[in-house]
Amino acid sequence: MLSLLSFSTILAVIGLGLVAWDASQNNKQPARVLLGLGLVVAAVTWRLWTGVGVWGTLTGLSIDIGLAFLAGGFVLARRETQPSAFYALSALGFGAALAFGALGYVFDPAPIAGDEAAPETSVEDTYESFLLELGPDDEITEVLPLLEQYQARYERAFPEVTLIEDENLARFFLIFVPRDLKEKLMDLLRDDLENVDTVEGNERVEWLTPVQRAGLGYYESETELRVNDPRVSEQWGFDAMGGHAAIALLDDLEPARKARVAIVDTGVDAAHEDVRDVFTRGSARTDENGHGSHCAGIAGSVANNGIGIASLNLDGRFIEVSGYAALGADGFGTMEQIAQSVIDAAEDDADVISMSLGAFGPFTPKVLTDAIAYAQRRGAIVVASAGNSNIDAYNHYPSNIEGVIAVAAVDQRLDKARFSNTVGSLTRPIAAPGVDILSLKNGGDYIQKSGTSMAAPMVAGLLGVMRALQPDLSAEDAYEMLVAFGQEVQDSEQVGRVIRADAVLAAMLVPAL
Amino acid sequence: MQITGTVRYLDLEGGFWGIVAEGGRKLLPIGGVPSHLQRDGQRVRATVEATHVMSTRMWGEPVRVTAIQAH
Repeated sequence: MLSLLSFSTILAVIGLGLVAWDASQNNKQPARVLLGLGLVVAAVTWRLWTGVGVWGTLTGLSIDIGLAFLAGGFVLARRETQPSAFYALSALGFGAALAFGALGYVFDPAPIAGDEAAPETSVEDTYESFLLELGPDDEITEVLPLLEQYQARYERAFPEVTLIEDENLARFFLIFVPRDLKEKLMDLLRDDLENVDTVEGNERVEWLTPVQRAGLGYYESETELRVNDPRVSEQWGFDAMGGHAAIALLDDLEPARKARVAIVDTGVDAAHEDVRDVFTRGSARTDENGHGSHCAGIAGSVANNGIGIASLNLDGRFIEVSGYAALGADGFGTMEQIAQSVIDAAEDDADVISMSLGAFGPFTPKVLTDAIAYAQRRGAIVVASAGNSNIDAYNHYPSNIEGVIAVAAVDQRLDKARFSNTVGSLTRPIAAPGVDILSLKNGGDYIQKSGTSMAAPMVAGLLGVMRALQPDLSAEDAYEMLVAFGQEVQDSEQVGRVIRADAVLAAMLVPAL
Repeated sequence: MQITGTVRYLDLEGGFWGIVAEGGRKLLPIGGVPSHLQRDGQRVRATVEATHVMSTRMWGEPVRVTAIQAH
């Protein structure tokens, strides 16, 4: 929207103002008219040069014309000269702006010249990419000479996000540059404070082949089992968060609707026997890595289906699970892919986005912050793992991003897991079981894994059920309920309270009982 | 940056290899540790560069290893 009013608007208003001023004078001066018309031509040229896409440019041009004739009309009216022709042309300009704006909104064409020249593949062998965010009033053409000098090409990072939907994400570009020139070009762009807001890396990340670990022994539940899933007795974490009692509360309930829990990870094995009946949406229906499938099972595997494990998704009635490949099947991912997955999940109307990934660094990537803010504005509750370095998660993203529920892991004694980062310094800390957690293995089997990655989807699953019962539940209210009905433990100062599904759901269901 | 440290197997997130440098700094090699050095407790000398990446491991500082050998 910021591009709609610009320098060209000022030029056009002054230009037509001068023309109108001259028209109202008895003593006509051709030079004044010429100057005014020259300014109008300059305004049109400026708009055409800097406009964002066809529809954006036409919309901006129409607004310039509408405002300029309106200003001219005011001048004529002040000089007691008939202004109706200027007002009519002004109305025409505004009408055209509305029409072009609507057309742009409907058709949403790739708005930046040069998109067509972008490479078909995301990264060539000799090229590497990074992310560039332009300033609010800046265009890619302003840095194009520098890009060309460094043999760089560009494409919009998130072409489906319009300026109207999110003016931050719409201004991110993927820049492809020869590997040996990348650092120099990034430095030069960082120095371009006039046109550039952010320059961030977009390196690929490797994920090693998962290794099955020997369990420390199965947790023996003393709780009455409420579901018929054969391996539920091995799920100490489900029991520890009050899963069985929660299932008892949900037994005769019909949710207001199914909640959508998005697993932003390595994809999900959508054919796995314990999740296939609730898998929906998302492009990542396979998972050659296994990490995403494990998380998906924790959040939403079908409970009481006589198969495998349980989650809070009783009979598959409360949650539908979707997968988004933030990390590729080969285990690599980029910042752009992660942000894109968050955007995709948000645009698929995810109620909860579960992110069992992250990194540690002094600067949180702005592209990630913007993508999460975009999802939050669309109503998604974003949950992220706190990280596994046994340090303060203050600099661990995305769990440190504003509004994100940061999940630490606890062990079978409900102590902080030895590896878990602490979340006491963050704004929305919470804890959940994250040691020796049994869940889905891609390909159809089951496997135990440990990590804060396992704790986050446990929280995401509970939030999903809460949204299923109360679809208008805000992220803030949901988090406050997790805390208010969570279990205070010895390490709560470091990891927050441990979630209690039974207490939260009982509180939500009291009015209905 | 040149470091010396110890290769460690991290039994997290399915399992992976990291390096704990002298002084306790945890380093997560992008691309992993070469298979012939994948032994818990293996001493190594390496040249690494800090990098800006994300992963499911969420352990240590991600680094790109440009050279590594047993020490």
